[in-house]
Amino acid sequence: MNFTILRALLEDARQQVLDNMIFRLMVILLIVPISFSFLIGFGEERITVLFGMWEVDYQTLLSSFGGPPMELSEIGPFFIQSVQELFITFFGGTVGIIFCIAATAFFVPRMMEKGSADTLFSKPVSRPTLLLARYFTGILFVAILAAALVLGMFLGFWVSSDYHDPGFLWGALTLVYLYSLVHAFSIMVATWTRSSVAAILLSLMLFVISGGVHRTWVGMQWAQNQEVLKSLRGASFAEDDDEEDDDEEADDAEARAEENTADRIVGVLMTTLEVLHYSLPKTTDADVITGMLRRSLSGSGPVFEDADHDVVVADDPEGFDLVRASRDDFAGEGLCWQANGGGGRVAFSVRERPLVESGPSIRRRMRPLQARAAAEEFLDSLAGRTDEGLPAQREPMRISGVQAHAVAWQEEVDGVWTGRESVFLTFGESFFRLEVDLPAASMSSEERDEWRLAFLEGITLGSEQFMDPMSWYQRQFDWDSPIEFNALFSIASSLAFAVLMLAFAWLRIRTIDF
Amino acid sequence: MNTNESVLRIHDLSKEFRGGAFWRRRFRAIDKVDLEVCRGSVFGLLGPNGAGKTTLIKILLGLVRGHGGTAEVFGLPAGSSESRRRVGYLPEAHRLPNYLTGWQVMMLFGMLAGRDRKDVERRAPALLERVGMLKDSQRKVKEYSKGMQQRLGLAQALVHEPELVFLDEPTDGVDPVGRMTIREMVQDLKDAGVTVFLNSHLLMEVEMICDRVVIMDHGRILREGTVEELTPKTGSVRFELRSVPDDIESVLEGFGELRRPDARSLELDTTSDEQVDSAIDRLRARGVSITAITPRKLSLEQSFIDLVKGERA
Repeated sequence: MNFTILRALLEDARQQVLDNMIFRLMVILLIVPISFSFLIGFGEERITVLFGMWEVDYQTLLSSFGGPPMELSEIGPFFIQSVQELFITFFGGTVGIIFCIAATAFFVPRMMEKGSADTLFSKPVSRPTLLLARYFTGILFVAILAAALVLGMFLGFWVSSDYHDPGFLWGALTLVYLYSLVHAFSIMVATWTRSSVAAILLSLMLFVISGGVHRTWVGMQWAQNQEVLKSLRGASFAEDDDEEDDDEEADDAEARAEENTADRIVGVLMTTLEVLHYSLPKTTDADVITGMLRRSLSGSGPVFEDADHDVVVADDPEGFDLVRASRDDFAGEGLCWQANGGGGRVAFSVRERPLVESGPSIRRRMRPLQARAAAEEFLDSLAGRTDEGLPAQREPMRISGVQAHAVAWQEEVDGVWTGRESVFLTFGESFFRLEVDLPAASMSSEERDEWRLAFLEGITLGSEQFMDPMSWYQRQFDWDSPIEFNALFSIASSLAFAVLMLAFAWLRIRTIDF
Repeated sequence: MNTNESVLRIHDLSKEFRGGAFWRRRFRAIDKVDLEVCRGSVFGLLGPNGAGKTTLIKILLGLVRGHGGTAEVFGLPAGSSESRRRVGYLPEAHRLPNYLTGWQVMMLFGMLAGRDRKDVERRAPALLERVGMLKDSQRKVKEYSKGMQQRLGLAQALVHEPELVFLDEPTDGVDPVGRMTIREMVQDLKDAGVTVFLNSHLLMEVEMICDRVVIMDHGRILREGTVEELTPKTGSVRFELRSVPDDIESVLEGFGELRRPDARSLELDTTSDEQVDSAIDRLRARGVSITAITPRKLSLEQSFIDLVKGERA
């Protein structure tokens, strides 16, 4: 295909889009969110309408709706992000896409109508080229609308609220991505049926079904994970209890597992769901991918998040900076923070939970190391190192609801009396250790407790237990996650679906008699 | 330019369509057709509805595939990209993109045929002017009447200067003045050495402008030849007279059957040119003024009807 033909097809696509009545209608509708972003500003303390003509503070607004008071420093961006989410994810990603499917589904059937096809296909342009031209005409249709919506709102909030999150711009790309998946199916249906109605109805059906299948699959994965988490957490809670109960509980768990696997109908349904999930385009992942890309640009989110060990650290300890660069992996030495002014260090590390010989002499065998045992062993090793007036102490505590054991002591480090603390905890197959070194003179005992509490509250272990399925799925979803939660796999398999649909369309159009 | 050179050669061409439940119903649209068209000629394709005329054209353009036999255009396989580049086509009941203006239609189809934009821009105004569409060329196609669309369709078929043009019912929906323009354009194309393949139900037009004609029915060629060959003499001569004397029958006694179609003409069955000369002598001797003498031939339409009816009988 030479450049002249490409140019002709592009010009044809542009004219077809601009002449489309639904396109024009949607351009008019875009004025609403874009105007909203320009005319309503979300400041630090209040909302301003029409560049200050009318103002209302957040607390008044929230209380008038019966909402709880919110922290002022976060409320402006929170409102903006909610509005952006509403217009991009809901109106753009759902209603907008449905409109676009309906508006563009006739492109191919009209091209293949008697009279139109004769003129067009008699030209020295291959049939697949003309088909692809129609596919990209649809994409151009959506790309223009998505770019206008996202850029308009981005500029609007920048002008009215001084809020400019470049991550928001990814929204346009993912809208186009989402549409391109469904549009490929629409092209395939249109090629085989030559019917706009069939193309619209079946494409909408695919959009709804793929969304439903994906969400159900996520729910299923979440439920399975919940079972695992509950058993893990149960193991942590029971760690201080009599270990002799372990064998009986394991036997019960096995019996329950056998009962579950015996349910063949559920098994068939779940297999069907799995097959559908992996076969259909993962349309609902578009939102997750948008959020992921957005976070990667804006840098929002926790300072550390490791899906493998299910650990989230919300913030750096106050006055400390994270030294290690990786934000999502415990590999190597673990996390390490250094005090801004020097003279303080916090380290958080993980290793595989070792097996140690434990239990009463008659039933002594190798069991996973318990946090209390590790703390006691460590406590013994401190003999002679601590301040005689302030002996080392073991203190049970909970981090994110998981039983932990802290050992605190004071010792002289490089000529400075330093308050030191080692916290041991186990979760599943992981053995965590948190070490805190603070110069004794840097803060009072109360300040230190408050500082420690604030930091520890930001650590979440097994948070997935408290998440709804989609939030949990978003947490699992990443570029380097296992294949079922892998973003690249999601994109690649969805695009493979689109390519397959276009291949089916190509098969049809190359043999059709006009 | 070699006018004996074939631009189109068909041998043993067949095409069968399938339809109905499980594609069990078969319909043979083209049945072992052989045809050759020389460069620079105007070739007429006639036949009743369903004769296979449009299917034949579509096979030559690659719009219908899966045929038996061979079909070549410019020595290339019919429907190949290179052959289509050199061909213009005005389909029957065509639909041009209604979201484009007339001018944009010319640009689109000219460029799709591989012509440079500037080349199309240079050629389009003259063509639009020729079909009487220049002043309306900035209006959208959806605003055009059927005749206007037909004229624009003809212009787009010629915008890339094709060497062979297929015109399928080109005067359909066009007013008499427009028809005359189209006939003139076909003549201009012929003069310019362009081969025209004309498919029309208007046999008078075909008779007026075609060099060779093929009559098809049920996918087969019934007759092929020049217009002269397809419209044989009937054996009668028509005399146009200033006035017909009352005793005309006695004047022309012994010349066979005499008919009087109207007040100033006679039709006389003759067996030879000598008889015609003799009849003229007698009329002149009687003082009758002769304004025209025309050998009577079958019209193409009559010839076509006779042929198709005879074939079906």
